[in-house]
Amino acid sequence: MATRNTPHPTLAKRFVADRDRAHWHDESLWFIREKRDLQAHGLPEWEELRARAAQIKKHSVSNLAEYLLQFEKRATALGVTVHWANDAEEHNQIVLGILRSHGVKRVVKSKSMLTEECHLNPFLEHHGLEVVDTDLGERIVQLRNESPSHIVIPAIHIRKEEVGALFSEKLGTETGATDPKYLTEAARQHLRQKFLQADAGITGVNFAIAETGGIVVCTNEGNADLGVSLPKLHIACMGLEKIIPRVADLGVFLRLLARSATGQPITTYSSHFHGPMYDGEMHVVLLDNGRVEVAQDDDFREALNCIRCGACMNTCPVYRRSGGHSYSATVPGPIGSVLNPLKSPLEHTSLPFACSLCGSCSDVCPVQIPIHHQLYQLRSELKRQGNIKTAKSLQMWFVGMLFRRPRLYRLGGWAARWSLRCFGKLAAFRWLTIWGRQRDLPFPPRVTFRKWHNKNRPTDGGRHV
Amino acid sequence: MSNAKTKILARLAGQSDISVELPKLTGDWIQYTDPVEQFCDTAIEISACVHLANGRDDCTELINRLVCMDTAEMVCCCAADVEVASLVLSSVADPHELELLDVFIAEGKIGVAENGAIWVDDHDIAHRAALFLTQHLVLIIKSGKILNNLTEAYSSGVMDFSRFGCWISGPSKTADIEQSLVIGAHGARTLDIIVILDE
Repeated sequence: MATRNTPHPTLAKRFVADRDRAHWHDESLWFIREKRDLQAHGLPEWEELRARAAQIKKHSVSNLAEYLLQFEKRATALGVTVHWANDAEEHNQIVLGILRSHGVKRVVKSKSMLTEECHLNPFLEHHGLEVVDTDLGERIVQLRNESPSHIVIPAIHIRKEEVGALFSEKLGTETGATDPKYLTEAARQHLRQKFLQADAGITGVNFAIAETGGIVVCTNEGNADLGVSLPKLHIACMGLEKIIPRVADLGVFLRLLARSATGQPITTYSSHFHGPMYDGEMHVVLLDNGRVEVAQDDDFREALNCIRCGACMNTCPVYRRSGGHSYSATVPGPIGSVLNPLKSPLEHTSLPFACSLCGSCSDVCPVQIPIHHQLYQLRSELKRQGNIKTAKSLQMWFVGMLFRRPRLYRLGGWAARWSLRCFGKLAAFRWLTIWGRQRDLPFPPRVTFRKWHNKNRPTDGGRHV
Repeated sequence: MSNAKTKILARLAGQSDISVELPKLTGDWIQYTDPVEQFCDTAIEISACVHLANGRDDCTELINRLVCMDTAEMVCCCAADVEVASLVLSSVADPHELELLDVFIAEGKIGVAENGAIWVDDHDIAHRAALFLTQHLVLIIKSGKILNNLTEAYSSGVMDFSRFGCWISGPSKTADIEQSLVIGAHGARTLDIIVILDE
């Protein structure tokens, strides 16, 4: 039976307790959002690109079977072995099976949210393999025994002093060194050895092309490429929704991805793998793990458009101020608050409420997912399923009832103003209501809006209320 | 047919029939009055060094004068008609032997003005690892191969989708520590681009 995760507000409270850190986190992400804006505004066709991308994704998601089979056929012809997995467990067993059949002991892995979703690292380690995450941010969180707090910038929550202390302990860098350049160089030297010693490389997949049977992996560091061009074995793990019909569709997606993610015109390396390297072997694992169900859901299908750029996180006022770990999920932030409750509503009940419905996520999303509409709708779904706490339901019921009865509403308004005047902040009933806890109440106005309106309404037909 | 595949396809068969048309890719995509100049500007912005060469001989001379060549001990060149003392990549049995590679020189097939990226495939490169393992990378591109945008590139017919190929834009980089940009993450520390002006 699924258990409820620690709710977002509880974890967020811990995060904001350190005001300086919370403020710094907020600023760092906003900096990326601004870089994204510069890039987006630099292309006159930005909105047209978003529209095309959304349409291509919608088309692919509604024709998954056709494109997956085409991909399998073409990839196989190029010498790739394609595997299918229903869930995380099957996925991990397939990967382990391939690694074992090659006698692999050391694996280097580039960033893949899917393998995080499947908890592949602990699984492989449990079976005696060494797994090294090679993206710098991921290596940092791995050495700290943490999970990424952001899908593009995994260590965005960690300060350079902490990285310095960590590297000094684990990699033998100078004590007290905090210069990012020095620390990055240390990681480069450390990971070079790992690349050279590795028996196999695992990567994620940004795009899989049905037309050609190829996969595309995008990085800035070059870690994915090093990891799969030294060892002869390459395993690429992907969710079913990563499929796109035509290779030329990349002309749309690669123009959007890095601009949205980090404000770069394109990632440093966008590698197109068509078949294994000379004398090597390449496997692609296609994972469902609940994706088909979302693909069949008329209300939420578009969530599968996601290309994991992280723009919705960088712009989200809640994410920026509460940190990725407050979401207790592999994919945090706005899109995570849609995807996770869709898969396991009981575990992630609090996520659709970690949102002010400001709509900024939907505005920046390069594939036009109506994220904030979906979050709003998910709240109703959760209510329908009986997954909302009684206190919250009761408040909603009360307010709903009040809004339907004008006279009662007027009386309520009078009572509220009276108690605000007499009791001030106490009127928020913060010991009683969830709503009142984070809010201050204003001093009631001298004149109510109703009175003001009735006095100032236009004489030519303005309604008396 | 594997069990999982059967199950996934069976689940997908129940997919409600919504038809969203696959859009055309033609469009009013960005054009530059001088794509070569735009390409150079963008490449410099993303931390590459750009050099203009008048023909192949000039290109050879430019490469030999690059800063990264000064102290280079192991150099490998896979570009045709560039005379640089070089290791022959196809004679290397195992890419691990390239661990100490200082400079790698290759020729790109297409350059893209909007993002400063160069398309390199492994047609003439026996070990693609060289592109990523080298300390310094030099990419040659003919000015006539520089297009306006990515859509033009994908429809140019020049890209070979039956082998490994990669857009490379600038040297490797990371900003994973406090968003401080550091050049030289795992791949090349520097990227020199030689643009050969129309011969």
